[in-house]
Amino acid sequence: MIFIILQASLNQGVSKCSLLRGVPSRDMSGAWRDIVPDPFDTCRLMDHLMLIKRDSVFLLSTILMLTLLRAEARCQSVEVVFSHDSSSQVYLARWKFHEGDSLEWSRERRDDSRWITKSILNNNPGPTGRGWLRTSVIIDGIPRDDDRLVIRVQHLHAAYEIFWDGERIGTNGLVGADRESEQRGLSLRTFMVSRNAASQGRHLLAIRYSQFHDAFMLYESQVVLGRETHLESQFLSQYRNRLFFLGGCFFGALFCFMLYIGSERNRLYLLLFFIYSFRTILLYIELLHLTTPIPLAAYDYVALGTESLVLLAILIDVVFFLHLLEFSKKQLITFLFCLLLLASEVLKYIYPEVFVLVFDFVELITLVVLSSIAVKRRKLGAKIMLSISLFGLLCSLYYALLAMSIITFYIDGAILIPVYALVLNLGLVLAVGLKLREETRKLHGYELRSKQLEIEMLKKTIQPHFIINTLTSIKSLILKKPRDAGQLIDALAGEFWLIGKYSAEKEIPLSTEVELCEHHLEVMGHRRKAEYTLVKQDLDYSLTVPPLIFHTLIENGITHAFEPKEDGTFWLSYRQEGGCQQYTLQNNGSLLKTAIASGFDAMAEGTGLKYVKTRLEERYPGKWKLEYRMKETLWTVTITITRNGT
Amino acid sequence: MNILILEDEPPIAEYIRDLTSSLIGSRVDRIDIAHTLKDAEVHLAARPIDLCLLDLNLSQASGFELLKHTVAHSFHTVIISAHTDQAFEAFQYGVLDFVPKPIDRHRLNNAFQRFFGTAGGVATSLKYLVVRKKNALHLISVDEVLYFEAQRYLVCIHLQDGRTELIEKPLNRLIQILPKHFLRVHRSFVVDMRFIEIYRHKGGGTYELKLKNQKFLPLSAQAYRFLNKLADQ
Repeated sequence: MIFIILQASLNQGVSKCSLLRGVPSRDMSGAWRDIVPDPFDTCRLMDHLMLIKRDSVFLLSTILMLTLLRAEARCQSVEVVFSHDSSSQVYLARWKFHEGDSLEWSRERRDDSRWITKSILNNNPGPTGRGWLRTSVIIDGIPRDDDRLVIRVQHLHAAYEIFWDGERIGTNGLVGADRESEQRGLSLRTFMVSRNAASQGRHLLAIRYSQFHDAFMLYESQVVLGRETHLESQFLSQYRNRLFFLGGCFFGALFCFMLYIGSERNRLYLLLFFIYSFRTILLYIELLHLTTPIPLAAYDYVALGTESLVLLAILIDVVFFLHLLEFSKKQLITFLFCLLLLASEVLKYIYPEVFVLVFDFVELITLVVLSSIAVKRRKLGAKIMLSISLFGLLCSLYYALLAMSIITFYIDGAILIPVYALVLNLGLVLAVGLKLREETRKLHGYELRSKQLEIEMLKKTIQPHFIINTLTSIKSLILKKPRDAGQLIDALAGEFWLIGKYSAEKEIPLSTEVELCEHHLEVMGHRRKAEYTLVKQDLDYSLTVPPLIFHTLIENGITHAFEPKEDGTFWLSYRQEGGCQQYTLQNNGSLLKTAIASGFDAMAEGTGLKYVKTRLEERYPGKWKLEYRMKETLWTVTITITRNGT
Repeated sequence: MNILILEDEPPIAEYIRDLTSSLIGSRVDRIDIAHTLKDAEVHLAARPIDLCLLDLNLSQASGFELLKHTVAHSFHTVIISAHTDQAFEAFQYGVLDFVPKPIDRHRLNNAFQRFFGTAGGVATSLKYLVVRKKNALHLISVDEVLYFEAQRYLVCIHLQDGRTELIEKPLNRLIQILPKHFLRVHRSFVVDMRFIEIYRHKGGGTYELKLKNQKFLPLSAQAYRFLNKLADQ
């Protein structure tokens, strides 16, 4: 938002405060219809502003002063001094105003000492209807040969005619007596004062206007008297600045968009950054009307579009922060922020004088609060975001205080804006970059863990002692019971074949897992001279499971629950209940009963159990539960996978 | 002699039994097989054994606990295991030999020969002696030992700090697993040579040595000659 303020100030010199966006002129004009203000403070402020030439939010104070003081003054003469040698441009902010219409009023001799003094910065030349504005211009020195005096009128939302010493030097639209006969012109007009007319001495500048159309105001009216060459070069420098930011924002946005397209994972914040940056570009393009004349009849739509765009942009800004800083209740916070925006908008309509101030800070304060919370949570890039928001808030505050004349130290917007833009863009890009780096690192860590699991699994199943023990068994069987030796070799081959095939998979069909378990039971049966059976109950073979979890549990069961030569049965069952998947593995081993009675923790975190838990966590992060206990005479291990776990 | 095979896989246990009887069958009175620790305790209570052929699943935490249990007894322990990476540690606890699986006939025979003292023992890396006190096992570092003294069926360990401990292993079995700097100076004494201050011929065919702690021990003629030879080198 500050961006917009600053843009405006850059483009406008004296510009309105963005706080006033959306305040319909009719409200203001209605409120001021009978007010005749000339508070001393306001004059001082105006003079001050003449000197500093540019400002952004000072309008605030104008409004505040005008509405709060409500002082009435029939002022002395209103005049400005323009020197060909020293002045490059002057702002004609204060005018003598008179309602009604009379061509006589274009002449010097008509006394205007009883006219009221008013500022035209408040969007409208005056109340609805017809009226005149006059000011004295004292010209000092002689214009250079290559230069001319010009009057630039911007955003004066009325049909008007300009008189210089009683001579009409130009018109914008057609001044009418009513809404039908009035024809509005362009938003920007420049009028030349001929060399002869701009001679040394006192001159009278008068504006005759009619305003019967309501205007949705975006920027305040402005009348500037200046040298043609100066105004041109000023325009060029503004144009250059704008192009500079436009380029920066454009490439930043494009870069993020390309990253978003190119990244495999769904990094929403990249897209949001793109939109966020892109809205700045849109605003820049839209701001072209500051230097481009736009028919005032179409102006409402442009202003309305801008207004909506800005509101949307503020929302996107907040959502972008929420995503980048990984807030969990994004929707709720966004909703609350919308309410806040709405509330401030409503309050602004009810109390325009007071709540214009609040509105501008709603977004920045929200961002500061959000990033502070993120800093507390040690989120990556949160400190950068906090710095940016604080900087933005400080800039806004600075302009607000400046406008209220609480501080007088002035920093030219032309310097502050590039600095702010630079800080903003670099900060955001840095935060996004840090986040990308962290995500890449996380991804690598994840892949590494996955590989480690695979290696662990391979090691577990083809670890030397398992193979060598089995080979020793084969060696011992080969002479006495060659049939058994053959069966053992077949079972072992079957187990290894499946492990080799599925070792790299993160999950395997349940049927394959069961097959693996059966092979293992056969191998162990031969080795321990026992008969092991696996009973399958209600298994849904279309399911997949992380590899070797039941295999590992069965392996543990054989080692810990059964004596050598003791026959055993394992029961593997599946149940689905209210979105929960539940696997149960039981065995009837004789050893655990006595072991547990003597205080032995059957599932003391051995490598096997650790493997099972790691696999479950990898596949169903945070959504699984592993429990074990004696259930009657059976040792029971239950794995529960909760809803959304698949 | 009596041998106990502690092996949880029946086919392998039978294979070891068959191999043992074919190698040293003539010298063996009895070979028993135990599949679990509980079985083994029953067998040990029934009759004393001279050699235990032990398969330890050393990768489990309880593996070395079981090993300590075994080596605290008077009999020798030979480990037959697939966990060859843990052989070194097993030797530190005083096992006689470590035979890797799958069992090689010659390698197993070599272990038996070491038991009978007919095969040269490699320099052992014994580090701890396990003694049983009030049914609890205690580890004594070999480096703390001054000398061993035979007392009936037991051996008294004299430590450098003056303390003594009793170990169940007979002296002739102990000497098989002790490091090289231990010398049997007498029928009843084994001394850490590094603590011998002087040794001498007392006359009349009797010899003695003085330890650094001023203690005198009897010395056999054979040990006297050995020390002389060592001193000449």
